[in-house]
Amino acid sequence: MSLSRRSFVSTLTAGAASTAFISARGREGMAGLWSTLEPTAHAAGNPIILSSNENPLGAGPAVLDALRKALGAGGPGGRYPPFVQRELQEVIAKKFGVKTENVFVGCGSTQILRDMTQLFTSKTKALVGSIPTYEECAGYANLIGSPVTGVELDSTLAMDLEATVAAAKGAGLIFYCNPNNPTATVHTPGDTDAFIKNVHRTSPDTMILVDEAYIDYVTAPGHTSEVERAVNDPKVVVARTFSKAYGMAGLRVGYAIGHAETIGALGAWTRGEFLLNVAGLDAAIAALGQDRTFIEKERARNAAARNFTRDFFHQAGCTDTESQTNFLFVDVKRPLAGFQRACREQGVLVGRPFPPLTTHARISIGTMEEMTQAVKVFGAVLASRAAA
Amino acid sequence: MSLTRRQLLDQFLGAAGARPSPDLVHGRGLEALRGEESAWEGQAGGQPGGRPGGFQFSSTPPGPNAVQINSNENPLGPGKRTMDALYAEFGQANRYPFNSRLKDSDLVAAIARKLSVKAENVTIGNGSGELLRNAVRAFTTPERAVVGGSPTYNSPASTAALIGTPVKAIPLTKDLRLDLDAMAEAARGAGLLFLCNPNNPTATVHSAKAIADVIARVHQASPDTVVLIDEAYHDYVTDPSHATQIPLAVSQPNVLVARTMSKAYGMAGLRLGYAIGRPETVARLARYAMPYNANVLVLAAAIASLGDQKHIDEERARNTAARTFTVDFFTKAGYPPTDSQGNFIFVNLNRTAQDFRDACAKDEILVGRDFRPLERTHSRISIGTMAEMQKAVAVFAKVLGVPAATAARG
Repeated sequence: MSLSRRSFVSTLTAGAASTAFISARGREGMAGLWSTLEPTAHAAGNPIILSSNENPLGAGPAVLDALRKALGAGGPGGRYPPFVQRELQEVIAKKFGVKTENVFVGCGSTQILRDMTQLFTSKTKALVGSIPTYEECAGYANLIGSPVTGVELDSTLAMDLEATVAAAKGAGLIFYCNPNNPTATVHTPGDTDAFIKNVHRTSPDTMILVDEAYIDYVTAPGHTSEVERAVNDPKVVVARTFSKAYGMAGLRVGYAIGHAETIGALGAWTRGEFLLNVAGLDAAIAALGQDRTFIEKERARNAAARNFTRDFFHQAGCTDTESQTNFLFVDVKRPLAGFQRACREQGVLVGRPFPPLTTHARISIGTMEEMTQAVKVFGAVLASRAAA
Repeated sequence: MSLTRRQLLDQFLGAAGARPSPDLVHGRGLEALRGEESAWEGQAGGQPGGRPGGFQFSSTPPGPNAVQINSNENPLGPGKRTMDALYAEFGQANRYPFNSRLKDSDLVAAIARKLSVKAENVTIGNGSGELLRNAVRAFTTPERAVVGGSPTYNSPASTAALIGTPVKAIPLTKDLRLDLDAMAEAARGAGLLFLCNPNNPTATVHSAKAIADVIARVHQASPDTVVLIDEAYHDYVTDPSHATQIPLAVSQPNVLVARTMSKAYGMAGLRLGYAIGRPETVARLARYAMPYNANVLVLAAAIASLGDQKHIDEERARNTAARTFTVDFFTKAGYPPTDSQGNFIFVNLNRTAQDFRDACAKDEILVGRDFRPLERTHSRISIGTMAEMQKAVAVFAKVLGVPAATAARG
């Protein structure tokens, strides 16, 4: 990725800002080329895919059964989706004990992030986020010409909340990814509460988008969602996705929960558009309708494989953040591009570089079997001089 | 227009009643929501769940016995091969479309193969809706208008209203076809010329030569104007003078053809469309594409569908038979529709679309919404299965007060 792609990034806050918020993918800027930047699954038969923070087990047979029932031999797939979409909104509202007017569903949380950026940033109202973080908002801000202010992480690779508050003065939107992708760090509800109050005090018009894509994987005791706050606070929106713990990244369903006014604005921007497909909608309805232990089991499964993988890296002398997600962020102490390539050659796909942290690898957590296999490859690559 | 902007915004935000408070409105997106109304149908519609002039859906789903002939859907849905492929891919549901067994690039390749173009000529969208919206975003500005018929498919005009692009709405000719001469004239200096062929809602089509001629004329006077031909209903056309403009789109700059799998392919719920053009034109459009806009099950379903031309040929024949039956009824009843080349008809019933729609709805026959500025006289009726149309025609006869025998004879 050339530096020129980052030229849209502003450096409005002294000290805290950097020019690397838009990291490697820069999808919008790359037009149709972005998918070629993703690791492809063509290496060595069926590689172990640890590159995209997906649930390796998928949505489960109950969801497929429900999908077959809903779509049958074809008829329902031929109808436009508004009624099924409404049904999912109602199911989500019920799950969280909120009203349907507090729920907006999108084509993955991707759509939520883009629409929020569309609505709440402008040429004079910047987007603020950390460096690095999930770059969908920044990429979209880039596309529409909104300035982006990047805030460097703190020394623990967590979001620097104090610097973010300072950077957010007068901004349009803060992207608050908690847990943060790619660093796997989480802020406590207390941290978040203080952060939001500080932003409200110093910049009352600034919207805060709390991305809780990985919340189902958090094991830190006492962690809670910001959903309850969002329904009462017109300046806070929570984004969620079915792409992670629910195992439906390919089905493209996400949602936002917030104050009715904010949700209404999202609805107005997209009204009359059908961006959700009925297969994803019906699957999401079924996924939420299943036993709640689905998520608890997935969280426990992930935590076990995560611990196993962390142990390996610690024994190998690598340091990582204390992951609260389904991926690790680990310093492999060598340029990531070489590490990534060497792993791919041995059939393991790991995440791309996240500048400016160019020696850190983002490694998604697969099944225990996959991780058992993968750590052998990591061990071999870390031992090899060529990859160093 | 008599409505104030405030009223338009209220209508626009619709039934949810959710309106941003003044202090919330600071992003340019929200400011745009207060902008211009959609012009192609004369005024903002603002019905529940509907964008100005866009789809309208009641708040409750249709009952199990309802005949849904209001949204130009394929009543049979996707074919068996398509659904089998969709279910078979479920094991890949956990993968993003770049990690899955079948990738979005595989669908692009399948489309390119089917249409005898190169992959670089193809971009996919979340339905053709996403492509139409993005075309307005990519090719128009507050200084460079979008030009279209009135009425025509409203999505581009709705998007234009959101982003502050002026809309030039060109009335149809007396026979309810796009006025190509007037549109070519209006396109001088415009950002985008939208040609819906066959035209929704009027069901009329222009010959391949007429479309090619208008493109040449526009580009002679205004070479930077992008011409977007929406061929959503291409597979239903039976007029031999019609042909796709895809060969022209891949050979000339600033021409795009949009297609959808929502109509003859029966995949309206699955959200897949594509646009064809020269690589540089396609790339300009694709800048605005939403990442992962096609889901992995639909990639498999669409690839299977594209390989099943026989199914599409059968669907065209099925639609033509039911369409002919329906057109015959209205013609004999004294209400001749336009020469339909779609899976819907457009007919002057000498009464408001709402009156007709409400009367039919009492018998669970659901017909099309208002299409301004013709909503005082014309109704759009989609073509269902033959059994559905027989049932519908009986209700139409009752509502119109024509002898049931007319219906029976149909």
